[in-house]
Amino acid sequence: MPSRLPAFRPPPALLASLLLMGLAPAMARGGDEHAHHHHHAASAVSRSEITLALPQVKLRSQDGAAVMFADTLDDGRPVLLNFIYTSCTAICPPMTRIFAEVQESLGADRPRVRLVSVSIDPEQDTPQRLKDYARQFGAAEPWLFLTGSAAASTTVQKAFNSYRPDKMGHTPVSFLRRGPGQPWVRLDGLAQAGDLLRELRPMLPPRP
Amino acid sequence: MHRLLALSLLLLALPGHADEALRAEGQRLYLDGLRADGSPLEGRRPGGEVLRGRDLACAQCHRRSGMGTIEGVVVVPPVTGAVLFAPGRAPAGHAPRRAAGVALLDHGFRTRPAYDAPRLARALREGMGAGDVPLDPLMPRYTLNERELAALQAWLEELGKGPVPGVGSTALHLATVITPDADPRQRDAMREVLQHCIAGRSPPPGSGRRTWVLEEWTLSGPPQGWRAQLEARMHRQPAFALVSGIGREWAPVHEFCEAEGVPCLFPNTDLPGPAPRASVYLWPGLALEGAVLARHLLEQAPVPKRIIQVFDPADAGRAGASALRTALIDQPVTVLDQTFHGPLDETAWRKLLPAMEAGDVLMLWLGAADLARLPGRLEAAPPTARVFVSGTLAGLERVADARSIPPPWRSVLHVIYPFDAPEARLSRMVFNLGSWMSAQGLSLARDTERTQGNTHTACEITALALYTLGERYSRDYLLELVEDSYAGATASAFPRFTLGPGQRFGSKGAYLMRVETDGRLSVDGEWIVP
Repeated sequence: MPSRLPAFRPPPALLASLLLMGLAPAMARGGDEHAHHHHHAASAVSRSEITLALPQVKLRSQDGAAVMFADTLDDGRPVLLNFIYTSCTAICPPMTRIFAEVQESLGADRPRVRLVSVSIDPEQDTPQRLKDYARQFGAAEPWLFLTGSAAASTTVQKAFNSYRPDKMGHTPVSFLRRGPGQPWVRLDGLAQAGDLLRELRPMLPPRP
Repeated sequence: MHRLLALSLLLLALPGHADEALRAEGQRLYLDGLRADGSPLEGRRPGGEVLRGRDLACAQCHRRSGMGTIEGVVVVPPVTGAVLFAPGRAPAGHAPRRAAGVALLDHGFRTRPAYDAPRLARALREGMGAGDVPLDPLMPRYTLNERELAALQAWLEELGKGPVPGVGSTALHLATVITPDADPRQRDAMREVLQHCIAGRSPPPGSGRRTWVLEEWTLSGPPQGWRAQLEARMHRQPAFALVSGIGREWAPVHEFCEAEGVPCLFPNTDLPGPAPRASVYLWPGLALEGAVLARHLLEQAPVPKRIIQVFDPADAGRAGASALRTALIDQPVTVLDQTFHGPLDETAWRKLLPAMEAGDVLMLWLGAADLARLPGRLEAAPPTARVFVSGTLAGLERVADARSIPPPWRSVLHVIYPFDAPEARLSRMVFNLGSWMSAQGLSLARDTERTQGNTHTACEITALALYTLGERYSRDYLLELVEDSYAGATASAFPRFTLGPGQRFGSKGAYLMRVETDGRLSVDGEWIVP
């Protein structure tokens, strides 16, 4: 049955007002030391641990290569993942910049961590666009930017409980996992490079 | 020469020119994050590393219009002069609901005092807002000298300042462009839907808001003369935006829109112009079909050695042919252009088609009448050849029946089809548009439903954006709101229709269809986005 509206418009303004009113504690306040001001929605980081089943969908990397999502994430390395789109204005550039800072800070450990950014606007974000975007932020191996069919991207977003029918309604969230079969750490809010590295470094196996 | 130099120095020294230079510096900082000497602006977010240039250009978040944006829970407030240099206030008519036991903290930008030069400096350098509340951590803290602060202030004061063309005292003027090469039936379908929709969505007279007045700009003569006609119409009665419209050739309209900076929203054309900024299109047009075919061929083994494409350089198919060639430019594929002029008969066909070899691909950028005159026997093309036709040009399933194509061709044919599958589309059109059309005394017709649905989409998205715009008239802001109003695309001809910041095409892909024995088209494979 065709629906009257193809995309339900989530009420970002309402979400924002709820935050201001202190009615969205899970999102705005996570007992985090950064949360000095209620109206600083982006500064409050809330941490949770979750388990989820990775969907085995076919996506495409910034190099145009076909990528099986679950297999790629289950390569044994710790994973740091987020959702972005390249035409996004306020949130994605800072999020991507922070991932780039993490990448730099990892130094020699960089190849031991898988960074993944999944596009939530896959039809616009062709592999070529993702490649340009990755270059703009100095992203290097093994940081993957993934796109694919709208359905495949939606499946991944839903598996991470991060799906918004309207991409403009998205909120900053990062995910980390030590290895296959392990729980994920979910950080809601604009986690800074320091926040991410504090989670990520203990996930690295000791060097032989 | 000396006199000229002296004169220009004198001009530079005049206050008007000094202001202009300062504003231009401010504009560059605001839009591109670049200083007067071209070096990148620097700053950092709390806890972040040093950022440079476009990454922290104001327009990145506050947008070109200065009207800001909302993304998830992040509210980027407006920074236009009228807002920034006045005390913050809640939007007119805004009365937040209160509940017992809940303290209401309004946004800092709604309760702060007016900005002045020292407060602006403190906000930009230290991240401390005019109301002594720290700004959101997403707002960078900038390294700016005094001149740059003054330049930014000068630009912000200018930002959002009127008057805006097309905004009268009681009317908001809109226009729609009709070119003389538009098909009469499609043209009439577009006019009917647009007139009814704009009239129905406009604030009614006496509501205290400006009513929307739609003019039809009907062009005449050859395309070379259109630009001047458009300029004359704009001069006589400026339009705030152009909505929908219809034409086969569109380049002169595109160029006019880009030069004027007037938003040209979703015209019915298969030939959108290059690199749109002021124009937003339904889809990339026939060029998309060429790119989709290239993508499909590169992904299906074996990749062909040779592609023969047949097109009339005077017709719209040239855009598809050119895009196909461009997309394959780095590939070891020979693209052979077979061009013709005027209608094709069997003799012309025989001359046109070279002897084909196994594995060749034949791409036909042709209308239904030419396809129906394909040679009855297939000797020109071996059975292993793959034959593609442009779904847009051929008009199969709506103005022509695929059964009119000679049978041997029909069975090897793939139709590049940039629309939603016919049956899914029709049922969605009937469901989302049918009752509105009936209430208007209009009816959906098989051969015009795509135009009707797309015109309705153009009107609905524009209406949604205009309602959000309210009294804050700015063409840049309208475009930004259009990018966020694609929920109005309930009856477009496309299976998915989305926009985003800076995006200029609603639909971005195509299906491949095969022709069933009864002439129906059915989807063959996945939606392809090149």
